[in-house]
Amino acid sequence: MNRITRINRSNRFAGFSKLLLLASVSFAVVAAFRYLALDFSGLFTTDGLQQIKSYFAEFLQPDFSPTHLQAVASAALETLAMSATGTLLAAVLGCVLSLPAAGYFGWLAKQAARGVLNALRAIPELVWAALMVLAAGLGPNAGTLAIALHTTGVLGRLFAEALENTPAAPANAIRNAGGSRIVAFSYGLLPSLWPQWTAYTLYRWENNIRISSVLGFVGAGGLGQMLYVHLSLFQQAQAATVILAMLILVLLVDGFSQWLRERYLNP
Amino acid sequence: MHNSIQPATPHPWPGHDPALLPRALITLLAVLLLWPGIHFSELDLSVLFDRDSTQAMGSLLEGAWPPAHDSVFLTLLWRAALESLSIAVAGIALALPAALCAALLATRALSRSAMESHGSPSTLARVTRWPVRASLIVLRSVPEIVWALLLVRALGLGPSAGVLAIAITYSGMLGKVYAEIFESVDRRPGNALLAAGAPRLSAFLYGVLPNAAGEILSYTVYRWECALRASVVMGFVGAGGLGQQLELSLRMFAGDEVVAILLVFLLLVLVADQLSRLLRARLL
Amino acid sequence: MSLMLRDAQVCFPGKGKRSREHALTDVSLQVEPGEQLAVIGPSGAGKSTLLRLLATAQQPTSGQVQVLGSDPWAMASGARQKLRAGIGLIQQSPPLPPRQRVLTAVAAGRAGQWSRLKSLLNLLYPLDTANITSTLARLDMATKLFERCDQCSGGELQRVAIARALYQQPQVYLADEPVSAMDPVLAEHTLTLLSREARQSHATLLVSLHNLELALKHFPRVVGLRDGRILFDKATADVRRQELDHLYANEQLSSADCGPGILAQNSKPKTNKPRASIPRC
Repeated sequence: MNRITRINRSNRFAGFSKLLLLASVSFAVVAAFRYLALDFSGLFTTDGLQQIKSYFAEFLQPDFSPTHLQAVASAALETLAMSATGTLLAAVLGCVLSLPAAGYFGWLAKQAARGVLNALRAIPELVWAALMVLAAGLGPNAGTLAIALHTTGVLGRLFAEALENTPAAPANAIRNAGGSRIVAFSYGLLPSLWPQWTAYTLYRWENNIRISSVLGFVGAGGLGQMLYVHLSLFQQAQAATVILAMLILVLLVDGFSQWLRERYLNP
Repeated sequence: MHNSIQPATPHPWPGHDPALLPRALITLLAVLLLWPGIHFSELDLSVLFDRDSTQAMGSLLEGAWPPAHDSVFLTLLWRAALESLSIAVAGIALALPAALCAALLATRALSRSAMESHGSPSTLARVTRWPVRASLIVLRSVPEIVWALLLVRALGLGPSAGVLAIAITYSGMLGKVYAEIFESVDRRPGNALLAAGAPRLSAFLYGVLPNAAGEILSYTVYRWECALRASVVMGFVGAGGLGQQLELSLRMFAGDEVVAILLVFLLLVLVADQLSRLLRARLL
Repeated sequence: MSLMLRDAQVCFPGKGKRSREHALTDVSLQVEPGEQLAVIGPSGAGKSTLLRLLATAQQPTSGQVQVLGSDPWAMASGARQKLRAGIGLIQQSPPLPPRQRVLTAVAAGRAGQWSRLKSLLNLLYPLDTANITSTLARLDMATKLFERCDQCSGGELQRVAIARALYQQPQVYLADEPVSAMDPVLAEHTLTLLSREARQSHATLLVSLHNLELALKHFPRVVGLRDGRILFDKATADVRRQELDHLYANEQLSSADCGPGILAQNSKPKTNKPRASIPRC
């Protein structure tokens, strides 16, 4: 009897806490809408609706003239180069920082490296890009650096985690045969690590192609800058082509990266 | 006894490494791709160290510490942070029902034809699901900040563009994942209801949703965390919140304000992370 | 003196808060250069710990260790690495990275002798294929030269580990159950080979074995180990049946093929690695 009442009570308590959770979440939602005082009335008057409709309708006729296509293609190439070079740079820096972050050079170096990685990762790419535009001027260079900085933070942490989770026995065996640390690392750990590290880098590249196509909004080159300019000039048809190019680029990189991972990096 | 151990035949080409050619080709390819990569991305680290840019960064960093903390700015900051938070919450709140509807249309769970043929759905069903899936791909493949930029042009500056942008992108992301969750949970209760002649909606409500609800809500909370970051970033194109403040302060080279905003942003993300962890632990 | 232990003890932290498990207690042992001997004993007797102790992979809790005439724990780490280059440890389940090729795994034996640059270059292009091939050929493994380690069976991996030690050309071979995953014929052949190679290079050979017959057949000297203590240490001819019975008493309860003891498990590599989740926002 006693146990049954206790179970009932705990059930009731769980139900109550779930109800409370639901209530506070709905309260948060209502409060959010109230706070923003969203005004969608423009959407519902016939006039406003008509305007928005015609604005978006203009996107349905993308500009496919050869000159524009050429410009879009070169911007797409720039975006691709930004994402790939930035990711590559980040992978190299991430490798370098992951060793101290995994505790290879003592406690102090570990905390310092983790701090740096966390700081790099915490600031979004777009903010880095805005800063880099100030530091390195307008253009894709700033975007590449921004991607490299943020991605170094992400990859460095992932690399360090992979490093910590890889069995150390093979490397210890090399140390026991008299090998130096660097040789023990490259013969004992690297064979297990590099497929993981490469897979992480490819994942991140998929992410970065999306990011690098919008970094241009703050002046860091590529498709984003083109889109921003066309939208500022109310050239919706040209902007639509750019968006289409973004979409194709993202899907292509996704497909390519997935194919690479499945084909070559399967364990 | 030792007959089974043959003296080993020497390798046909001693010294020839079969991995050599692929390795050389990959290296060659990498080098060939690296050059255009660096060329088109205009990568040049030396720019960072020349006079102009060090001066620009110097003037930004000069007044960076201590962070701005006068009461007017702090009030502004508090409002902006609350706005970013509200954008994320409202955006996800709008995305959730839209994603549920889209997932219901896209999922292969609760397919009558699949149940009858014990496997894949009929061609007709696949053809009708395809456009839903394709539009979900388009919705989530266009980055949220692009939607925000488009909507700012249509609706004007302010948070409404941000909310709608998040609603659009995240209904695409959530819709895809919801559909996968519906397919991954135990299908027998739903199928049993369908077989008993229940309409698909009630089969979903009573057969699938109870099993999937926890996972769905947990994933939604996780995405809300992402939406919060996105809402801050979207401010850069004028969609309100912390990002808009950050853009203004950067433009004015007000280093102390930039640092203060970044600190608030980090705090916000940290709190959201803890809150989402707590909520997800409760929901699962 | 090639190997010397005096009152060596090895303890591991136990399950309790302050409890310690004695893996080896007051072990004393002397091995002359060029000598060949087998260490026998039931599972969990401390054979692996003894070999790791002699291989300088394990520091003694107390007592003295001397390898090749010097105390490894009294020297600077650089000098210790030089000393280790002369010790070839063959482990029971060889810790080889699954994706490494046999060729590279064997080449790693010379990690202590080659310069860093040579070792790293060897990763890009194998520098000594001919010698590695001939080493593998002696173990009937030449055809596996370019295979990956995860494509090798347990017995083949053990032979890769032996090939690595042979390629290292150490002054002391320490082999921990080197033939446990091989069929009897192959085990016989491999032990014969190991003993012949050691004799030809005037190296010391110390092998721990589960299989009593192999130990008594191949080695002139046998050391019996049980519960971390040396029970007997004498010429094979003088070993009496009674002593062997005593060594393996109660072993039938937990048959001879039962899994490795708790101490061996401590040194096993973890195989399941959690995959980190990749944040994508």
